[in-house]
Amino acid sequence: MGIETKEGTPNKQPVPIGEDLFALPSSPADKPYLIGSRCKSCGETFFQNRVCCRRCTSEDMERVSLNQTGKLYSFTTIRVKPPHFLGDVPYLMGVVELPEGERIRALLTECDQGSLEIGMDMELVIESVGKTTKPVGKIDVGTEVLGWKFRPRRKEEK
Amino acid sequence: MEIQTTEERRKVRKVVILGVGMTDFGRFPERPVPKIGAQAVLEAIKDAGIEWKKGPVAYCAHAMGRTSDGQLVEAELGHTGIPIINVSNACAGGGTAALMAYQAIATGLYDLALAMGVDQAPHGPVGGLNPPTIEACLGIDSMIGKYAMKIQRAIHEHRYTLDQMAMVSVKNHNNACLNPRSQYKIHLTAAEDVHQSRMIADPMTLYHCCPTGDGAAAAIFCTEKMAKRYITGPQIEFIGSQLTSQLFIRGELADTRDVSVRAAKNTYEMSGIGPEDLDMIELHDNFTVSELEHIVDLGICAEDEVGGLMEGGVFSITGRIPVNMSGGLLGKGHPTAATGIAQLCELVWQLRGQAGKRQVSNPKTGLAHCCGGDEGQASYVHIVKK
Repeated sequence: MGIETKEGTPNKQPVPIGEDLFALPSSPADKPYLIGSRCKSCGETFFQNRVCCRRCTSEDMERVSLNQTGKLYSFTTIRVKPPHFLGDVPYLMGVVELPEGERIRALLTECDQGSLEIGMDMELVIESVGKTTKPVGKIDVGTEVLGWKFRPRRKEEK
Repeated sequence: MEIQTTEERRKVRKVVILGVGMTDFGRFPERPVPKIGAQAVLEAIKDAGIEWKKGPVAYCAHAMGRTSDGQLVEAELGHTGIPIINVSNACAGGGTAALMAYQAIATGLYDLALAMGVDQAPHGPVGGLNPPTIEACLGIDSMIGKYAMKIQRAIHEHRYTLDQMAMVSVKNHNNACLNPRSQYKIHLTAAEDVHQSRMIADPMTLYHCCPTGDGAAAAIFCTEKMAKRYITGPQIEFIGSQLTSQLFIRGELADTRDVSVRAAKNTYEMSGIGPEDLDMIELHDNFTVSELEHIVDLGICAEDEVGGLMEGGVFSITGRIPVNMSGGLLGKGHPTAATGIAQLCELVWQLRGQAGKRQVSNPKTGLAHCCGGDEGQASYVHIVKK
């Protein structure tokens, strides 16, 4: 208590777990979004930036903001901790299909398994996933990191 | 991709499997990888009746070891100066080594080749590459998570019931009980036994998942001419082998089954043998759902039939088309790169009538299949015949 250790400096702000993955809201009224890339040649849209289009190999790609909402494609509760996971088991994981056609693996939050149904509306949230236990990219050990998650879409916001 | 037809194949040399060997599959933390590998190779060369110092070209597959495990196995057996190629292709590694041994002989490059696979796995779920990926830190780079979600989808789409998937585990665990080299010898009597095992990732319990483990397997390939010097009885010919990777598909949990469909189609075309000619199959049952999918992918039956046929016992050792007589990955175990060669060991023993209590009635042909990588990034199919 009160002693700053190398790991877990108390006043450090959480940082995104990687570059160019998502944009945080600039004001409280704003919503976060995932950063994707769209092929100008064939129109295919992907989560994250790419060297070229995975479908047609065109290098003519543009950066796009992906839709913040999508439909739950599948889900599970993982009860055995996978290597390197920063959180605790059990936890909910799912795949969400965006209107663009891209499907994204993500942690699910603000819900329990019993309330989930394939096909339900989900929305993106950016949240802390824990503190790093090994260096990740340029991020040091003991840094609290933010990752992308989805939660059931709130009715009042529909 | 152009596939050689049966007609064109006549121009390449026939390839025979001269001998096979494998270790028990299990947990051997006290045994270094080169010793595990050497044990399988020793059994294979004794089975083939050749001397190690004769020096085949060697293809050594491993998914988790050091990059020169092939040379370390060779050092254990005694140096020969032979060319050794280390092969890495995830779960498809062993089968890929067999494909390369086949190609080396069929094309006339070598007369004798060794294909082997050896692995030693850490406990727990696969993964854990260093440095950790972003997805691994988030907990979403999870093989068990992926397959649990595939099972969810299969149930949601009314393709298979959880009971039908569980029956794959019942069959393969019971077959494994008949195989002295199996990692697990757990007798299961009904789907309920599978449902009652520990929950891993809902709705998937432990017995829906293959274990990780340690072990090795080896096979000696040679020309028909050379085989005649060693074998007086019928020869076991390796008549077809094709490897594929996936085409463009959109998004996570996309349908990657096309990799196996094409590997099978290409191998059937190349070997002149179709699914209706097969007497037995060893396939990639890494999770129960995979076996049902792959039986369909290999053209054995239709998607809406496979669950019912599984429950009806069609794929059991005494059924119309036995699948995973050895116990498969689920029961026999899955030391990653050893699996592909261990499948060939099983087919050879079955064709020779040496499979003991799990012997299929007088088989003449057999097929082996694996998928490798997270999204079915590699798939191969081999066909052997007596």
